[in-house]
Amino acid sequence: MKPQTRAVNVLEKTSEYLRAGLVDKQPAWYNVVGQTPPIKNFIRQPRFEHPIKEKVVTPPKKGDINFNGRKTKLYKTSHHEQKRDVYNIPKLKFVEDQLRQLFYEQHPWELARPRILLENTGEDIKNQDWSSIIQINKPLDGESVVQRTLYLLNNTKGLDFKKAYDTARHEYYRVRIQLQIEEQVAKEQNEMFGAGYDLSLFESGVEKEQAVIDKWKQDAVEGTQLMEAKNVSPQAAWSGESTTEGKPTTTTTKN
Amino acid sequence: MMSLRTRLLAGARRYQSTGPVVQVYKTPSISYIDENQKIPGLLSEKGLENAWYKRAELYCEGLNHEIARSGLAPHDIDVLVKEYAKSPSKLNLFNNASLLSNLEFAFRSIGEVRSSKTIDFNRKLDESSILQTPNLSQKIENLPTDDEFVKWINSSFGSMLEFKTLLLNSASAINGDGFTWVVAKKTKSNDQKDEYDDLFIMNTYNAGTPNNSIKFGQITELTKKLQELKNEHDIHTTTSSILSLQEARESSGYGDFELKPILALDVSPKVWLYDYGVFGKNQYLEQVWNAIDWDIVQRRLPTRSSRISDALNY
Repeated sequence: MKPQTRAVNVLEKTSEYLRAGLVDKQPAWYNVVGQTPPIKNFIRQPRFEHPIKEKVVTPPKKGDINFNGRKTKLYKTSHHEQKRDVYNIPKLKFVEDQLRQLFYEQHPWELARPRILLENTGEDIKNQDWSSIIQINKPLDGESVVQRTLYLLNNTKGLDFKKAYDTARHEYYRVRIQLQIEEQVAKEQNEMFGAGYDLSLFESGVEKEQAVIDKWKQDAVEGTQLMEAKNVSPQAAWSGESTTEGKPTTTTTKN
Repeated sequence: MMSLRTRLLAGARRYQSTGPVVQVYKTPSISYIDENQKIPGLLSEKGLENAWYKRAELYCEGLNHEIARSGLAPHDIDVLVKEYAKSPSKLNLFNNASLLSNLEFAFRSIGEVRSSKTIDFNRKLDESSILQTPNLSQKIENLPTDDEFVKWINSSFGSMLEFKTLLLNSASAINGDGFTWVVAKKTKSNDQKDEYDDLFIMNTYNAGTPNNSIKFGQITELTKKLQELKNEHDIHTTTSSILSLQEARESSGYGDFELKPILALDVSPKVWLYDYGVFGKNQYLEQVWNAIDWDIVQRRLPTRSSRISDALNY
């Protein structure tokens, strides 16, 4: 792919225009872009350090033994030769992801709960203390189980992965039961004190649908009447006979 | 126990600005409480005074006052609750009668704390306790002793742990005044005896009564009236044959069936606030569980439906 150079050359282009007098005033961004000019080299430089294994990877030299047992041939490009680790973007693997996947596989309906995905600062985790599964700045969800499991693993001696996950999971169940009952009781209590709730999503959907059906029915009745009136022959209309009494078969099959 | 209160006690006449008030209703005497003047492990002396004596006195006073004001003949409290539940003009009378009856029922259900766990009333929980991680221990102290009752609980709620969790969580979720009840639902009444099938947990709020036959239909009637008023103003053409969620819940949840209360927990802050502090509600509930007198509860149990108990016994 050809690198798109027009956009990154905006500073040079504007400078030329200024010098030539095509542009009178310096644009507002001029000095800012001058201080931090855009990158023009789009060729990816390999990092010789593995981001996860944190191991320094030396660039291959001519004659090195490849991972598949063959000698490297830097002077010759081969279609069959596999790409090296160095030039691959390494796959990021986190234990949290495995936990998340496990939890949501076991509790798929937890995904149906509404969640807030955005944070103001992105630093909410700094104010969370996972010595308890309940947090002030975060509603209970699968992420709570993940973080609590990690906390237990890191802070309890002799606790294996499965045991830590189960502990966190059971704590989660306890809190979820409590929250669910709280929700029910609050609703019931409010109703007892005279609160009225608006229609639910389903109910309002049914009402909306019903309104459309009602309108359609009315239109259909009117439309049918109009059609029947049109189909009446002029003589019959003048003489006061209607189609339904006169000759129904011929008139109704017309349209 | 009711006949004591129904007797017209030769009470001293007390003169108030509204006129003479006869002391018909008096604080019911519960022998266990009156002997100890506190509930060891659950409520201190001052705590008990706030929770029981002061409140019972207040409700009795209110009841006497209302009886004198309306010129009604003093009846048994349960009769008052039943009679005036739907009468707006007797609201105060009903509230006092219902509260007194509920309070007495709750305090008659508890005795001494049957647990090794003691609570220091001078050291109250602070705000960090609301963020405490839940206790996963499945050990339950103070279990009911009667086998039939345990079987009944297991078939209604699944297990003792589920029963306790539901009971205490329902109680904990009440905001402000209220009671959490364990009730038995009546299936049928023969000529000889009534039979009950399942146990349920229900909440009543403020002066609500657990007597379902009284409160059944109140909300439905209100909704109907509201709908009628609404229809006068604007004519709805929408006629859906599907029950709304509200109606469905009404017919299944508050159907016209009878419930017999067998246990009540008082979760009003007036009970626990003095001894347990602002954050101590759950601690109080744990202690109340340990203080439930299962012998009394088991004595209140009605006859279980033979159909169900036979099916369980094979």
